[in-house]
Order: sequence, then structure tokens, then C-alpha cells
Amino acid sequence: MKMRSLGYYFKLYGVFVKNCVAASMEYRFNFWMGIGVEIAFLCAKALYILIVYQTNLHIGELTPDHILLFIGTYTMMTGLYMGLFYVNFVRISQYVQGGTLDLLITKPVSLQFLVSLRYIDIGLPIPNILAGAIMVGVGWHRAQLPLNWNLLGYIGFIGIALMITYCLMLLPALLSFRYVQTGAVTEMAHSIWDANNMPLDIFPMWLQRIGVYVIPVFLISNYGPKFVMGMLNLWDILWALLVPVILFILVRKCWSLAVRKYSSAGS
Amino acid sequence: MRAVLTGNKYVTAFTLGMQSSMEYRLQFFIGLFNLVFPIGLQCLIWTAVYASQDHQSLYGYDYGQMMLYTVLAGIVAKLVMTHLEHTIAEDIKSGGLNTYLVRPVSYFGYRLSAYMGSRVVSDTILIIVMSVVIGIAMAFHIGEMSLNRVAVAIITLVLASAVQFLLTYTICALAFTLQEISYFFVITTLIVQILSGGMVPLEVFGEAANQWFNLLPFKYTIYFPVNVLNGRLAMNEAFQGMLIQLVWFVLLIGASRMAWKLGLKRYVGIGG
Repeated sequence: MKMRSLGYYFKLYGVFVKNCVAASMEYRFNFWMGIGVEIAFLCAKALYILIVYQTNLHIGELTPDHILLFIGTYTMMTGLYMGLFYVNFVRISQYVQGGTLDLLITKPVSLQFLVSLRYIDIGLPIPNILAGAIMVGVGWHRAQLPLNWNLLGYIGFIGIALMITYCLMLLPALLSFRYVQTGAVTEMAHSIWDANNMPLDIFPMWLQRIGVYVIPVFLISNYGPKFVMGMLNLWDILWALLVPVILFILVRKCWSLAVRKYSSAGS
Repeated sequence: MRAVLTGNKYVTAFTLGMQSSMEYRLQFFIGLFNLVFPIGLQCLIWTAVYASQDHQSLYGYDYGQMMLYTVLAGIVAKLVMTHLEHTIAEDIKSGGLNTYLVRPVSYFGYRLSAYMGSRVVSDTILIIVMSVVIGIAMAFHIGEMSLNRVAVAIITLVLASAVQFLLTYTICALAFTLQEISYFFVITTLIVQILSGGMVPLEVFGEAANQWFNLLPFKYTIYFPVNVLNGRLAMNEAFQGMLIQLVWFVLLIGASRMAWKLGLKRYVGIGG
């Protein structure tokens, strides 16, 4: 099949976004309920902030304001994950079980692109991104961190985190090609994701190494704040740049393997 | 006796529930294993919190008690939370409820039996895990545990499960009225978990909030049984709490019956 250009995919993604915005305006109740759900989850996250400030928690050099920066980054990343990826990844098992994938395979675009990025939820990320950005802003200001090129670096690390999130969270969803029920594995992936709720420094060293080098989940919401605080060395930055590339290659291989094993099950 | 039992429709529902819970065994065991992550994360957070403090005690708990609370609350939450909302709502939305309405079977009885059956294996494993935790706590003199206390805690746990089941069943009646209910259930489950002390001890919310929590049934599902078990509540407080659990049990039976009666009047069985 002819390889489409990157520009074509950006244009197509724009159409997906437009369609999803129109759809969310059509079903307004769902839109508002989605926001309600995320606000409820935010309340749960706010409990940790309450504990951090009530107990004046210090983790090594990190003050409660620094920790707020970490929690804010995690909250923003959760919003981006929910809005951009989660809504697609939960559908994969339905595509496989219902046989919808048969139809999607015939489309003249990358199947992985279509399956993993077709839908965008506008309602789900709004509370998380807003609240997360406020937490980051407040934490940054109160911790008296400089607002210079650090901000660009922070945004860069958010971009890296987004790519890592896509790859890491897509992998469990690919098990749908092999197993009928993958809910527990997804739940496990979400539990591991929640480990980002606090700075990685609260974990024992062996777990930190696993979370950075084996399943690099700690890069998602730790490296941005650590970069701003000047806590990353050159090797850490290089590793953060390398991880999305390695993971993307891995995901592509796993995707190809999963699709090769796919046999139509539904209509 | 055996013939009566095997012929009983609710015993059959119980057996079916047990069988279906073991249908996807890998999923089942991974689901149980998942308990480790949130509990582990919370233990690490509390460890960091206590390590950065000069005080021995926070929110009235010393470090050992807080660890014990966190572990036991995680296990008790898994024991009492039903997660039946979506199944019941789907029956109401898709018309699956018709199947039960036209037959000589109580939907409540069927769901309760199937639910109890589905919990046999998982609850047995959870009780074994909880016994190990209690054994370790006793060995290291964490909390004030005794066999009498464990016996009382078992009764509070049974009552907590009953209250939680009835709460869920009552909330599910909203599916007769609301068009899109799945989001609503996510919100209620989360709120119930926070207010019942499933995430952090209720003392974190302060005294004023706790005065309000006393008026609600939620704290009697997780916070109360855990604190009976770990010895933070005196025996007379434990019996007082059990009485309140019983009151909520009776109130919720009435509330669920009324909610379902009203709901069934509005019910239009499409599909099924």
C-alpha cells in the first residue's frame, strides 16, 4: 500500500477532531457527565494535595510546592491521556470481538493510526488540563522557579510524555487480539499509571530504576518538573529523548504481530 | 435436603454466579493482584509523610496503625464494593429485566444470590490475605487486636457488605429515570469510596466534615469495620456502630423497595 505523508495524517487527524467536537456538541448530556466524572476523580487527587500541605510533606529536597508541580503535571497528563488515547484504546477489544476491525482494515490509511487515534473526547480532559495547569502554575510560582527557557523544556517533556503514554498504554490494549477479557490488565496499567501521582523519589531505588529504565512510566510526569528544578543530568535528558523512539518501534512491532494473529470473530 | 437445594432457583443462581466468576480465570487473578498497586502506592506515600515528620502520630494514627489501616481498608473495600451497577442498569436499559419480571423469581433475590455466588472464591482469597495481615499485625503488636475483636469485626463486615449491596441496589433504581447512567455510577462509586474511608482515613477531612459523615451510611462500610478490627474503636463503640449499621440496613431495605417500586411503574420493557 502507498505510504501516506505525515501531512496527510495531520490533516486527517484534524478531520477526526472536527467530527468529535461536533458529536460531543450533539450529545451534550454525555459531555457534561464526562466533565462531572473527571471532577470527581480530581477530588480524589485533591486528597493527596490536602495531605501534602496538611503534613508539610518534604521528600528529600522537594517541598510541598515542588510536589504540587508533580501532581499538577500528572493531572494534566491524565487529562491528555483520557481525551486523546483512552477513548480509542477501550474500543480495541470491541473492534476485535465485534468484527468491526474487518471494516477498518480495508480503509486506505494506517490501521494503527485509525484504531488508536480516531476518537477524541473533548469533555474528559477539560477539568484535568485546567486544574493541572493551575497546580503547575501555583507550584512553579510558590517554589520560585525561574520562568525562562525552562518553560520550553517543560513543554518539550510534556510532548515526550505524551508519546510515552501513547506507546505504554496501547500495549495492554493489544492483548485484546489474543484474549477476550482484558479489563484486569487495563486496570493494572491504570494502577501503574497512578504511581505518577507523587514524585518518583517516594519509591525505593530498585522500583525507581524499573519505572525509569524497564517500564518507563516515571518519565511521564517526573521528568518535566525535574527538568525545571535542574534535577536532570545530560544522561537523563538523552534517555528521555531515546525512550519514545524505542517504545514506538516496540509498539509498531507488537501491533504488526497482533494484526497478523487477528482472525475475524464477529459479523 | 440436597434435592431441595439443587432444585432451588436461588441456589442455581448462586452456583451460576460462582461459575461465571471463574470463567475468565486469568482476568480474575490479575484483578485480585491489582489490589497490590493502590495499597502499595498509598503505603509508600504514608511512609514518606511519616519520614518527613517529627511527630509520632498523624490524624491520630501512628505509623504502624496507618499502614494497617491502609492495607485493611484496601482489602475491605474490595470485599464490600459490589460493582453491580452496570449489570443492573444494563438489565433495565436493554429490557433484560423482562426475563425476570415474567417469571416466578424475585429480581432482588436472583441478583443477591448470583452476586453472593460470584464472590465466593474472591472473598475466600481476600479473607485469607486479611487473616495473614491480621496475623502479622498481632505478631508485631500493631494496633490492639484480639480474637474477640476479630469476631466482632466479622459481624461488622457482614453488615457492611449488606449495607453496601443495598446502597448499590437503591442507586441502581435511578437507571429507570436517567437516560445515560454509566457516568453517574463512576461518580457515585468514587464518592462512596472517598466518604467511606476507602482511600484515606476519614480523620484527614477534619472534625467538622466527620460530624456530617456520622449522619451518612458510607463510613459504616469501610472505615468502621477497619477501625473495629485494628482496635482504634473501643468495644462499646463497636457495638454502637453495629447498631447504626443495622438501622441503615433496615432503612436501605425500605428505600430500595420504594425506589424499585416507583421505578418499575415507569419501566418500559423494550428488548430483552
